[in-house]
Amino acid sequence: MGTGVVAVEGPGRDRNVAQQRVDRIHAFQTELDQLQRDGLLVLSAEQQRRLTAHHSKLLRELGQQFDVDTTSGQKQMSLGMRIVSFLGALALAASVFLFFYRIWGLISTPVQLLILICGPVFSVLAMEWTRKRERSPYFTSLAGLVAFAAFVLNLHLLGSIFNITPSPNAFLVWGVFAFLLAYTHDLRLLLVAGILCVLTYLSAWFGTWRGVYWLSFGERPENFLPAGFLLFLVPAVIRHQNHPDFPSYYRLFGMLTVLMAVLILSHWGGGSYLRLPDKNVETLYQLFGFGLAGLTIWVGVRWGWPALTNLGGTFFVIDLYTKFYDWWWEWMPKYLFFLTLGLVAILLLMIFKRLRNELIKESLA
Amino acid sequence: MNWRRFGASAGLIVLTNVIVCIGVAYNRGGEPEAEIALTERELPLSYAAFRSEENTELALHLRWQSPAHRWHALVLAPRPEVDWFDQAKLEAVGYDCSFPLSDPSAEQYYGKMLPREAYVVLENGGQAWTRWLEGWGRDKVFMAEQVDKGKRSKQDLERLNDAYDRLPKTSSRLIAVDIGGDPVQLRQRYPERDQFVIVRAKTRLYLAREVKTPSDEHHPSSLRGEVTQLLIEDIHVPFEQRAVLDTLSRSEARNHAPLVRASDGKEPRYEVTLRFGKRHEPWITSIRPLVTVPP
Repeated sequence: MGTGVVAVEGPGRDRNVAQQRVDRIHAFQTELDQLQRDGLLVLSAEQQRRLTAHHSKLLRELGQQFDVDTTSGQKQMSLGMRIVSFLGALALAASVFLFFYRIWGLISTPVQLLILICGPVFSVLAMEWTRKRERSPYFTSLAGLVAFAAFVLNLHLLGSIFNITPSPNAFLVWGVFAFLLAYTHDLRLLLVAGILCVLTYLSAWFGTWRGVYWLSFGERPENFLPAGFLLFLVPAVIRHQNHPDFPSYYRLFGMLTVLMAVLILSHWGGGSYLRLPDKNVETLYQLFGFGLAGLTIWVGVRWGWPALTNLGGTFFVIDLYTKFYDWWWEWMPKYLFFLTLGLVAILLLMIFKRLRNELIKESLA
Repeated sequence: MNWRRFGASAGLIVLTNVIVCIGVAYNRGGEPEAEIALTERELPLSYAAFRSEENTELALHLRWQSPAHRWHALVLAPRPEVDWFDQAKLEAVGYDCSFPLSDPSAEQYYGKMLPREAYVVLENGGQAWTRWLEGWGRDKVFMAEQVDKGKRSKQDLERLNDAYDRLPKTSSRLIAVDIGGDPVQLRQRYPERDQFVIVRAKTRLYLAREVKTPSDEHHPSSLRGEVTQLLIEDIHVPFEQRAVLDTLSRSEARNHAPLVRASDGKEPRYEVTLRFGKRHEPWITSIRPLVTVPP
């Protein structure tokens, strides 16, 4: 462990490692077939038989032990199951909300309180139960989202029942709860829920630090900038050995928040804290937006984070196209406007191609 | 089953609930900060109560009269009783009002000011209500003069008379009379705990441009404040206190009539005792019927 770096342990590592191994075996088999067809590598029948037997045994064992996808068909099914589990979780969460709204006027305050606390606790219990019975994460993920929704309902209704003044601290507690479930059960959806809650809390905190009423924090997009940057930097200080795909979520949502805030400010100077004329603020943020999008692309390429490269590219194009719209939509014939957009896209493709070729040259050198 | 993992998550849920409940107990413990009796005029059923059986919650909505009716002075008679939220009060709440109003960019500077939280004093009835009624009386006279001068139509006057005959009997007598950043200082200024309540509210600053009113009064540019919202406006009715309201709603459901509110022109049908605790958060301690509802 490096200096100043915290390692996060978790259960998802084994399954992820097993899935990576399965993917490597399939890639190896495909390449071996190609090499044999090209006559570059020929295995004897005995070697071929031993290798096939070894791989089959390995795939069977990994499948049995970690419930990983060992064929492309299984992978497609897994994707479908992931979608179904998400939709099921949404439906169950809605059911929990609506059930309580239907009954809470008919029961006394202590019973309301008891039900509100038991809802998330039993959902967490259900997570543990499904985790023990099922090696695949779908049912656990479903129960986890229901637990999160039940906890949100818990605090929200507690505020209503006791007429408590709204506070941003609720988002911090929801965020901590979502992170706890995400890290202990290796659940990405809950990680996203946690990131969004903490993002809201931090943005509201920056707003209140400036003396603003906390629910008005959204009126100044700049409140989101420090929160977005902080989330982006989380993987740099917390090592995710056992959740190798978690850092990309922090980077993606952190930078998405920053780029969105900058994009909004580049068209709405009145929403800035800066005491400058609105037009100047917009120009400033337009320049910042282009620079930041370019930097995001570079960072993504430099450290091999494809999601970040795509995000930077998308925002670069959005920044550019919205500016074109501002400048030319009114006075240019529409066919010419779209022709210009198309030509700019071709120009961008040529620039990206040149950059790509330079990267290839570097890797060959 | 991993009991440690379960314990961490369940522990967070229970701990959070315990902390919230300790906060509630602190708010409601000891002598209440204020205790007032309000009627359906000030606490009508919240719109939530008009929802379908999908939501059985019952809540009362705290209705109050806002100060600084910013357009009032432009259309009707001057109303000094609602015009107390001035620059000094804004500074007391924490707004930075140091930028000169004569500067050309003052509008942009103050236009960017965001809402702030503050403590508002609400007076129930009393002198504030008397002044409010007097203001309505002046409005009627003023409107009649405007009609005589041909500046307003007779229909305007009739509409105003109709509304103003009804409003003094049905509208809320809870009127915002002062504001500040420190509730202790406000309580020292308004010590009657059964008449004045101190609640948390959201406020906004605006720059009132130089104006000449219909009564030919000249108002120079000034900074004004506005109380836009109380932080707690819907007050939950506990199960133990909802019998009176349930009887009313059942009676109206039997007659196929929608739930009506005092503001719809009817006399108030219930009285609520409302307490405010140390954190200025309210709760209902009793609801008493003011009319006899047929069983």
